[in-house]
Amino acid sequence: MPDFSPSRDPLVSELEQALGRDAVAASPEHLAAYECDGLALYKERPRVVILPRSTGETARAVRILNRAHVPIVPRGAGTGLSGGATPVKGGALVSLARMRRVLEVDTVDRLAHVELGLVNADLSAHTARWKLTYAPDPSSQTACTLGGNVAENSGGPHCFKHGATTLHVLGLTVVLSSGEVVSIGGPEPDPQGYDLRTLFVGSEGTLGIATEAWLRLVPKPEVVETYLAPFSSMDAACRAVSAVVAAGILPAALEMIDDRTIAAVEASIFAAGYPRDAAAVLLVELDGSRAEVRRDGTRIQEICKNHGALRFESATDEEQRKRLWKGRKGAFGAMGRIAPDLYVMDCVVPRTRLPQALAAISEIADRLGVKCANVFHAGDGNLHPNMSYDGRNAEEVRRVLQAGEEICRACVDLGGTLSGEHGIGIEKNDFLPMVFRPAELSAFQQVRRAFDPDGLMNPCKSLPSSMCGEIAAAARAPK
Amino acid sequence: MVEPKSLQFDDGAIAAIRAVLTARGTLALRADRRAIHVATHAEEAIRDLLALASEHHISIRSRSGPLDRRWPFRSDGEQEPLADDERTIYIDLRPWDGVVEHAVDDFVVRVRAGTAVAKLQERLALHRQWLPMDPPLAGELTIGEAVSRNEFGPYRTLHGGIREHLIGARFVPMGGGVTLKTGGMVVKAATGFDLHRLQVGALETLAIGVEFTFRLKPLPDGTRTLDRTFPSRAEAFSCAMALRERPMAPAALFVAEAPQRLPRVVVRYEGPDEAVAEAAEGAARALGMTPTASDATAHWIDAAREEWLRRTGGEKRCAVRITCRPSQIEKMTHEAARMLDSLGAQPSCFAHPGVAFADLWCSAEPDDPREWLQRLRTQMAASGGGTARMRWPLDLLSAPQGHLDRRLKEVADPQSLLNPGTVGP
Ligand SMILES: Cc1cc2nc3c(=O)[nH]c(=O)nc-3n(C[C@H](O)[C@H](O)[C@H](O)COP(=O)(O)OP(=O)(O)OC[C@H]3O[C@@H](n4cnc5c(N)ncnc54)[C@H](O)[C@@H]3O)c2cc1C
Repeated sequence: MPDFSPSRDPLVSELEQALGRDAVAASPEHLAAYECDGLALYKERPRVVILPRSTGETARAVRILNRAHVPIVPRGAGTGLSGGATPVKGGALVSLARMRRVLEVDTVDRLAHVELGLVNADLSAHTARWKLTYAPDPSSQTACTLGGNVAENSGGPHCFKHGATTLHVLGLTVVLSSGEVVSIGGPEPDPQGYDLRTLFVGSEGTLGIATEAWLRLVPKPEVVETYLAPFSSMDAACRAVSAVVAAGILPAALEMIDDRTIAAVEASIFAAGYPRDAAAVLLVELDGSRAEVRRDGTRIQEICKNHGALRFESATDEEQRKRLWKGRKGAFGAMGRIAPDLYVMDCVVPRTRLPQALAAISEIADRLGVKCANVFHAGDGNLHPNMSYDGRNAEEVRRVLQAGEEICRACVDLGGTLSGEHGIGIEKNDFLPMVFRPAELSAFQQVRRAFDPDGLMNPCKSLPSSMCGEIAAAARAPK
Repeated sequence: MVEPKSLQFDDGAIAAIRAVLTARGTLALRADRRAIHVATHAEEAIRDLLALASEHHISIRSRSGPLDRRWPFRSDGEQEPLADDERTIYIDLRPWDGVVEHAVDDFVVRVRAGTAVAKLQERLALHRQWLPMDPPLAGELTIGEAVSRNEFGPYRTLHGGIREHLIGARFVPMGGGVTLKTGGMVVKAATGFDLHRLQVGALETLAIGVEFTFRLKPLPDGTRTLDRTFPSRAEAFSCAMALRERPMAPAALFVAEAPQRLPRVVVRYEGPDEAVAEAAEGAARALGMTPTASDATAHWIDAAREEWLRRTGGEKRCAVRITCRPSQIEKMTHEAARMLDSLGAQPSCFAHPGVAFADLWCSAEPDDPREWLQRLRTQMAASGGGTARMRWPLDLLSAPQGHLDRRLKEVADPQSLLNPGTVGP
C-alpha cells in the first residue's frame, strides 16, 4: 500500500501548487470527514480532497488527476443516500463546497445561472424577492447541493406536480475527466444536438463534474393550501391517493407518513401535531389560482372522507403550514430516536401498487426482525422504507441489508424500479440486473465511455461489481 | 413486390434479408438495385434487419410518420431518385402500431411507435385522459416520429415538451439484434441512464424507437380560447409576453405570421370553469383579446394543422426552428425572418413565446443549406444568443459541443449506418 501521507504524496504537492494550499485537504483528520456520504454502511478514506473555487480550477485539478490516472469522485454536501460520493480506493474527492455563487437570475425568463456547490434551499431563498422559486425540494434541501441534485436527479415532495430535477435543468457546464470544459445545453429550452442533459442528470458523478447550471425557476403560486388527512388504515390512505389522481386533480404534493414515523416525529423537535392515533396521515398541498385551489380542495376533502379519513384539516395559517412540512421533512432525522443508525431506502412502484408494496415491505421486515417505518411520496409511488438499526451489531446489519434487497425485488416484481430519487451508487449496483439485462448495462457502459474514455469518473458506481472488478469489491466491503 | 434477390446487394446480404423477411412475415414493398423498402409490423424484423445491416454494412433509414424528408417513396408507390449510392434498407414503422397497455388509474400508457398521435388521443379521451401535446398533423404523425423529431404544438407552453411526458421506451440499437428498455411504468425513476429521453429529437440516429411509455394527464374541465390581430409583429409579441405574466398561466400561446396577413396572437386557458372564465375575462379586458368562434379541441388542432400545412407546402422550401431566452424571441424571430427573406420569398412564422420557440419557413431554398444555417447561427449569436436547427431541406442535428455528440454516435453506431447524413457539424 503506497504511503499517501500529505508530506510524501507528490500528487498533493502538485495540486497545492496549482490551486493553493487552501484548496487541497490531505491530513488524516480532514480526510476522515469525507469517508462516506449519508449511506454510512460503507466507508473509504480518499487519497486527497480538492476544493476548487471555479470551473477553471476544477478543470486544472482534473487534468492533474487524469495525468496521474487517479479516480475522481465528485462531491456536493455528502447527503446522498446511495454511496455515490463515497470515495473509491486511492481516489480523489472533488468537492464543490466552495462554489456557491448565484451567477445570474433572469427574472423575465425565469432562469437562474448558478454554481453547483450552491445549497438547494439557498437558491429559492435568493429568488424569493422576485416571487420565483426552484421547484425540486428534496427533504435535505437545507444541506444538499444543486450539483448533488443534478447528479442524482433528485426529487422532493413538490416534484409530484413539477417533476424531478431533470425537468428543471436547461444547461450545464461540465468538466470531463480529461479536464476539458464543455457546455451541455444552455439557457434555451432545447439543445441543438443530442439532448445530453438527459444523460448527465442522474448520472451520479460518472460522466463528469458539473460546475455550473442554467436552472428553470417557477413563479410562486397565487395561493397555497396544505391539508392533513389522518386515516385508520394505510391501505385506505393509499386508495384515497389513487382516487385523488384518478379524479384528475394534480396536487403540488401528496405525501404519506405511517404510524411509526408519526410516533418518532411527534416525540422529536420536528413535532408537527400529527395525530398519534392514526395509522397513516396524508399531507396534501394544492397550489395555483384561488379558484383552482378552492375547487380542488373541496373535491379532495370529499374523496378522503369517502375513503375513510378520520378528519380533513386545513393549515390555518402559514406557521401551521410550515410546521406540518417540518414534520415531514424532518422525519428521517426524527427516526434517530429509534436506534443509533438509519438506513433510508428508496424504491418506486406504480402508484396503484402502493398497498401491495407496503404489504410486502411489512412482511419482509417482520420476517427478518427489522424495525421499519415508512414515509413516502405517495403521488409518485416513491417509497422510503426506513430501517433503524445499530451498526455495531453485524448480524442486525446483515438482516437490514437482506431486507433492502428483498424490498427492491418486491418493488421490481410489482412493476416498479430500484430507485425513485436516491440513485444506485454502491448501495444497489448489484441489484441492477433485477431491472436491466446485460445489453442495457453495456449500453450504459458505452455512454460512460463516450464521456469518460479513461474510466476515471466515479468508477464502479452504478454498475454491477461484476462489470468493474476489484475497485467495486473494495468500495462495497462494509467497514 | 420485388424479391430481394433482384437487388444488387451481395449474395450473403440478399440471403440474410430474405430469411428475415420470410421468418418475420414482413413484406418488402419496393426494391431496386440499391434500396429495399420494408413495412413492418414485427419488432423482431427490425431487430434482425439492424443486426444484418451491421454485419453487411448496409445503411438503414427508418421512418414512422409523414414528416421525414429522407424518404424517397411517395404515397403513389413511385420512388424519388436516391441521393446517395449506399445500399439502403428503408424501414417503415407505421404498421407497428397500437396501444400495448393503458394503466388507466396510474395515468400511464405504453404505445407502439407507429401509432398516430390522434388515434392515441382518441383512445385516451374515452377515459378523459390525454398525452398533453398537440403537434401538427396529429392524424398522420406517429408517436415514433413525434419523439424522434421532438414535435410539439402550442400546448408546450403549459405542459412542456414530449421529453417531459416520456417515462420509458424500448428501442433497437444497431448491431446487437436486441431491443433495449429503459424507464418503465413508474412516473419517477433514478435507475440507470435515461436513454429513452435521449431519443427525443435524436432523429433515430442512435437507435430505432419501437415503443414508448408516457405519463398522462386528465383532460381539462374547461377551456377558453381568445385571439387578436395586431398591426405589427412587435405589438403582437408584446401582447404575448404580457399574457405570459398574467396570474393564470396560459395553457397555449402562439403568434402566427404569414405573408399578406396581420400577426395574430392566440391564447388558450384551461382548468376549472370558473378559473378559466376569470382568466379569459382578464385577458379580454387588459389586452383586448376576443373569444374565438369555436373552442372545441378539434378546432384548435385544425388551426395548428393548417399552420403546419402552410409551412411545409410547396416544392421548394426552407424551414428552421429557433430557440432562445423567452425575452429574446421577438428579436430572434426577426433575425431569422430577415435571413429567410433574403432567399427571395416572404417567410411565415409560428412562434411560441411562452417557451421561446419559433418555427419559420419560406418557399425558397438556400443553395448551400449548411452554410446558410451557419450564417443564421452566427447572426443570432451576434444579436444576443439562441440556437437554430434546420428542418428543411436538411434535417440536421448539430451542436456546439459536437464532439460529445459524435462520440456518442460513434459508440452507438460505429459504422454510421443508421439514418446517415443527419449528425452534422
Ligand atoms: C435527511 C435526508 C433527506 C433526503 N431527502 C431527499 C429527498 O426528499 N429527495 C431526494 O431526491 N433525495 C433526498 N435525500 C438524498 C440526497 O440529499 C440527495 O441525493 C442530494 O441530491 C445529494 O446532494 P449532495 O450535495 O449531498 O450530493 P452528494 O451526496 O455529495 O453526492 C451525491 C452524488 O452526486 C455526485 N455529485 C455531487 N456533486 C456533483 C457535481 N457537481 N457534478 C457531478 N456529480 C456530482 C456524487 O459523486 C454522488 O454520486 C435526502 C438525504 C437526507 C440525508
